[in-house]
Amino acid sequence: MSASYQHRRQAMVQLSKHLLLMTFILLILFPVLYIFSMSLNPNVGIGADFIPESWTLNHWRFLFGIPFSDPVTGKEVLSSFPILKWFFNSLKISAISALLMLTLSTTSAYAISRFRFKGRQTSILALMIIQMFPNIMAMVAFYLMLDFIGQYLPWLGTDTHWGLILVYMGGTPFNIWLIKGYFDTIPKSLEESAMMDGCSHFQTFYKIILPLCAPILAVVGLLTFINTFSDFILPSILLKSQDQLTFAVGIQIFISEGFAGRWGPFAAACILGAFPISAVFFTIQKYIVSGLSVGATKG
Amino acid sequence: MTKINFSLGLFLTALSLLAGVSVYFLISGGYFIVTGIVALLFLGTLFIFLKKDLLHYRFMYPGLVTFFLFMILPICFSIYVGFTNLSTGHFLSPQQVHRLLLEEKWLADTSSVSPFLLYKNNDQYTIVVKTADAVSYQGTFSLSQEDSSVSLDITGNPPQSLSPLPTAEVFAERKELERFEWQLPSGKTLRYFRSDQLADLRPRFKEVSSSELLEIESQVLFKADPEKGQYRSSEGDSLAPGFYVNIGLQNFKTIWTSPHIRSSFFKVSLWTLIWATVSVLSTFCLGMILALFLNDQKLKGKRLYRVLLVVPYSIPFFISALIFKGMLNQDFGVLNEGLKHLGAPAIPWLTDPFWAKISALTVNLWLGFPYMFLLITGILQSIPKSLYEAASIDGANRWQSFRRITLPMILSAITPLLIGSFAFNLNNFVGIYLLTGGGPPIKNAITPVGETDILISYTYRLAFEGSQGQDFGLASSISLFIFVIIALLTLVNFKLSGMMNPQEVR
Repeated sequence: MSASYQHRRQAMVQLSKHLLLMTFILLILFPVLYIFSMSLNPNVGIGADFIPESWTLNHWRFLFGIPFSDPVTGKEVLSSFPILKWFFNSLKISAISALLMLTLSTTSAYAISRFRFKGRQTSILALMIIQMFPNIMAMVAFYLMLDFIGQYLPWLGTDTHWGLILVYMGGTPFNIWLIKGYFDTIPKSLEESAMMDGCSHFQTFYKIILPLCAPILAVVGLLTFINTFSDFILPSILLKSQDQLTFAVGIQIFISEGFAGRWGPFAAACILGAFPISAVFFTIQKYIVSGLSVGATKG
Repeated sequence: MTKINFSLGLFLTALSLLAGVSVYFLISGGYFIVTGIVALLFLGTLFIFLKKDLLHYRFMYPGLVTFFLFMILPICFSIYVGFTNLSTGHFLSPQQVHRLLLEEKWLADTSSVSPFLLYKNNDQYTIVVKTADAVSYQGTFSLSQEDSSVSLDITGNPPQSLSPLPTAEVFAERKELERFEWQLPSGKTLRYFRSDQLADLRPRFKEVSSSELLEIESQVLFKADPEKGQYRSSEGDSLAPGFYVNIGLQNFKTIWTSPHIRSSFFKVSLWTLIWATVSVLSTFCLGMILALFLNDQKLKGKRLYRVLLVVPYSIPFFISALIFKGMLNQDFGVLNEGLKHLGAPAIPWLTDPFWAKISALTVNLWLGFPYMFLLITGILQSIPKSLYEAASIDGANRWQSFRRITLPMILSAITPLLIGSFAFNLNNFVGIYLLTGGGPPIKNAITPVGETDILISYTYRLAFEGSQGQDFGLASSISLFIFVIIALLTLVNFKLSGMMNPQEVR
């Protein structure tokens, strides 16, 4: 009797836990569900019904630049906003930044992890602290620098993707720190034996250490990708012409000009933009939480 | 000679060539500071790669160069700006302003304003001017000619076959036309005035010295005032535009002494502190509660719950912020629509000072709790079970083992991350800017500032969005202040997480 009572009580506790969690998750995910519904909702006001009477793919057509006829006016509609182009701009800039960032920071991380030199600790500390300087305030300098460079190399000036990528390359210290942490865990004896066999320092680095670090390099690269894709501040100041904008800036301008009439396409665009980042995030989530958590708060 | 040395030689030769070419261009452009930076960078490179025992610097070279160019230099510039009056009306250097004022013309005689027409025949231009006494004068010139003086004569008819250029095309050539002086037979000189008028324009100033200008008409002497950054007369009249000058600690004094700026500065600082503290505490508490709740052996479907709970964190923040901005819209937002269905009055989520703060904090909680949840879940899994067993043998109840075991374990592991999160939120520009834009505006403030502005967004608005102009100087000095706070927090953090400990930094 008491055993079955205990059992029933346990089941009740579990059930109420599940109910509580489900309610909470519904509450938390409401904006996400709502955006999914809006992207398929023919009623385009932002206060539209959560569950519409009918569904439409028109917002997605708008997003992908496929012409469709407006259900109210009957007129042919074709988006004049290059939302898809903004999306690809962002993918391009983020991918190139991530690759370049890895190339720039891996060798530095190796040096900091392997060499012992005077002022090493102080310089690590200095790098990390200087990195905390608010990026926004260096904006004027960034702008003036790119403007100056642009006089000589127009493809590297303001309002260019390469100029923006160049400015991102100032952010090496954080990545150096992450990669260094992983290098520290690789036993030195590996390189020592390679050096005995006549490898130079550089050869040991790229023949022995680099292949071992492929996973962490992938994670750091993807992290840079996410952060660059999500960055709003730098591109909003450095990019001007509509075709050059990144997804973050473009979509912000798109929706700030007026919620009315744009909420549906905006919802579709949000899903398009959030999906790849979400997917990347969940593949590297394990690393973000474990080894990388030193200051890895999303920026 | 090994292969490495050969490629090193190649690299250094290429670099020298590059440095040489850029130095040549920069010096001929007159950019001496930039030339200095390039030269410094080049010499540093040579030093690193030619000195034998600096191998570690060779490895760090690529990262250090970009870090130097795009972190150190901009920061130095910003710090410098913090000690200047760089702002609207003071954007130019003293030399630029001097040159600009010397080029300034004034209309000596309003009766000299004469309409003109311009005709173009290949490279030859013909100008026909009608002066106030209704006489037409005509002259021919080309834009490329050296002599800027063109004599005009009374002649019969304008070119018959051509029609005059439209004013828009004349306007497009104004930079060229401005250098010409058209001499009338009477000895009067006319200059380009507007796209359809010439007039007797004369230089307004005469150079007395490199920092003194004499206004010709009034014979008033204007001197460059190195404190105000303007040309000023002894009477106190000043000329626009001003130039930027080093004003020492003036910006910092302004923050403390100007009553308007001080009051908004303190108000903003206070809210920044509340914002960061509440954000950290609320995300920590919610994250911990959820982690404890899910840390149950018997609970089924834990993995799915964990994934779903982390979804908000996986979405780029600029997207979530914009979605919330729409949902919280007072007139059309889905939240107020819902309230309407329930018969409740609409809430001014983003337009009322109080509710805007609540909204910002709630959205930040929504965004940030999964991070804490993930961290604490990790920590909970690393607490040895034996601790709890020992506690329960000693007769501890669940609350006691939470108080005495779980919480201390969590706190000791997470404190550096809490400080990191605090520092991040102090500077969480996007978190405020994309949601509320700092609004609603604080009433009676003279600088652009809103109720939900945190220091960093306040600075941003001072620098870029001022309605009375942009004030980079003041903004930079405030950002220095923020930087000092953040740097101190980071130092404390490193100390706590043992990074300052020689044994720990391996």
